[in-house]
Amino acid sequence: MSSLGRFLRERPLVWIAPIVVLYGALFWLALQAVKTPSSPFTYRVDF
Amino acid sequence: MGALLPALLILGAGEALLTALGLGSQPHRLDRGFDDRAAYLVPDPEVVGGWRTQMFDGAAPERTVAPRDGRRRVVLFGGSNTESFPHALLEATLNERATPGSRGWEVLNLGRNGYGSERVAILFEQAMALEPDVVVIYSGHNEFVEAGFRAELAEGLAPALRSAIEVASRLRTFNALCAALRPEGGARELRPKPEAWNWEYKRFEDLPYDATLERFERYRENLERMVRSASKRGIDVVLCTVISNALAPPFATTADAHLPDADRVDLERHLDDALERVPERFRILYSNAASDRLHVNDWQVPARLAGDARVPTLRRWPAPVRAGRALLPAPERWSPRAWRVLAAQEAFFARELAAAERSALAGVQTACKAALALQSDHPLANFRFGLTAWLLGDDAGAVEYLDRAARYDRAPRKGNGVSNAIVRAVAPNAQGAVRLFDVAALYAQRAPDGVIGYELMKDECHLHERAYEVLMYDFADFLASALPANGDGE
Repeated sequence: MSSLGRFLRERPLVWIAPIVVLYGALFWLALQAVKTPSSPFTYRVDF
Repeated sequence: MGALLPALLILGAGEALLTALGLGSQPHRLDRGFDDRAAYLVPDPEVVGGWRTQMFDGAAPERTVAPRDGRRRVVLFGGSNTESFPHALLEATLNERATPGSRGWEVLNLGRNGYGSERVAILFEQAMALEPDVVVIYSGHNEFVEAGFRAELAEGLAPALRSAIEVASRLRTFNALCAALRPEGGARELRPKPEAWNWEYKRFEDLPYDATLERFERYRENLERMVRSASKRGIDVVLCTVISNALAPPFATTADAHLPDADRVDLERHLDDALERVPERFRILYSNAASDRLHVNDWQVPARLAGDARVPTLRRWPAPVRAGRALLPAPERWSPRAWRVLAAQEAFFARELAAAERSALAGVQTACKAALALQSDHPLANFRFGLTAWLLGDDAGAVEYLDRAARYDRAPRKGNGVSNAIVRAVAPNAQGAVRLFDVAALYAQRAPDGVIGYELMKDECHLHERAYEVLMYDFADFLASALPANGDGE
């Protein structure tokens, strides 16, 4: 436990970077996804 | 790996928290219903044995389906026309005519605007859970509307990105993010105004006719698939041809790609020449410009004073349609464009030509003939030739060429001779109890001069609201006679 604590304390960039990348990627993907209507409920057009 | 552990732990904790909160369970789907996994129908959580649709995304109330009772259950399938069917009227009419002591009828409407046969077929399969006794399929207008959606999907996102989103949608975190980022009001916000629909037509401009026919083959396969699915369950099927407006111009009208460049130029020149020669009072009917097309919205503008304008005379149809003004909304609700089109239509059907107009129309006919000599299946050339044939007194020629115009449209947004012929071919060749209700033939027969126009239709494929009521009586007649009460003892 102390080794994990030391790791978290001493090398913050190494473990923070994957969190930022992971959540950043999810956020960006979600942004792309909502640009098109979801389905099967999509509307787009014309009656 | 150790470096990833905190990220994975946080993600796992987030997933657990969202699960506990009941959030993010609905995956964000990109398939727009083109996928068997899309759940169109779900059990109604509030009614044991009931069902609820998931089709409208807030744009219209979802349909709820009560648990089955003893009545014969009829389910209607199709696009926006079906959605607009006043199915309660159909149900009431069927029940009024039912013999005392019979099971009676229940009519459910699963029509959804924009849906062509591909998504109707997916919905259809899922709707078998509703245990219908009779299914009615009124579909055929939307094959290219739906193809447009599919193409848009393919263009919208790179395949790798789509795959990444599909993988990510297994995470509640991702789905919750999508829900949070989604535009207010859902997909309604993404619905374009009619003026923005031009891109839809352009999408298919260079479509070769073989590809058009190929698309209609998919339509045939989808119909056959639905018929097979219903037949193996012993469900009665009613396949319908669809009513279309002969006066609505074709949509994808560009010249054949195989035509030499010089001929393409000549063809366009002949078509422009024809349009220029058309007397002004008829011209809007000849135009295929998006700005001259009527849409559903043209009949529901905010009420305003009609002023002193004389309301154009509309042809009177034989009973039970009768048409005339009775089928249309009040003139106060018509858009200026609808007024112009109806005035042109009145002059068109009156056919009272001055000598100069007759001469000008002879020139239009010559120009159209020149265009047709270059490409006999050119939709717009056929359309303008057909209109002119009518004005010059050739009724049979008008019907023939207007039919050709619709049939050769590379991306029709209305049913036509091709789609209706498929319905007529599928119905008698199918196994099981399949009936053909040839609505198109019925209305072509009723239409004065065999030409269906704007007194019945709002645009290329939609009927006026009160015409739907007449159609429901037609459906009631058909269902009651084709599926008589001898099934009541089951």
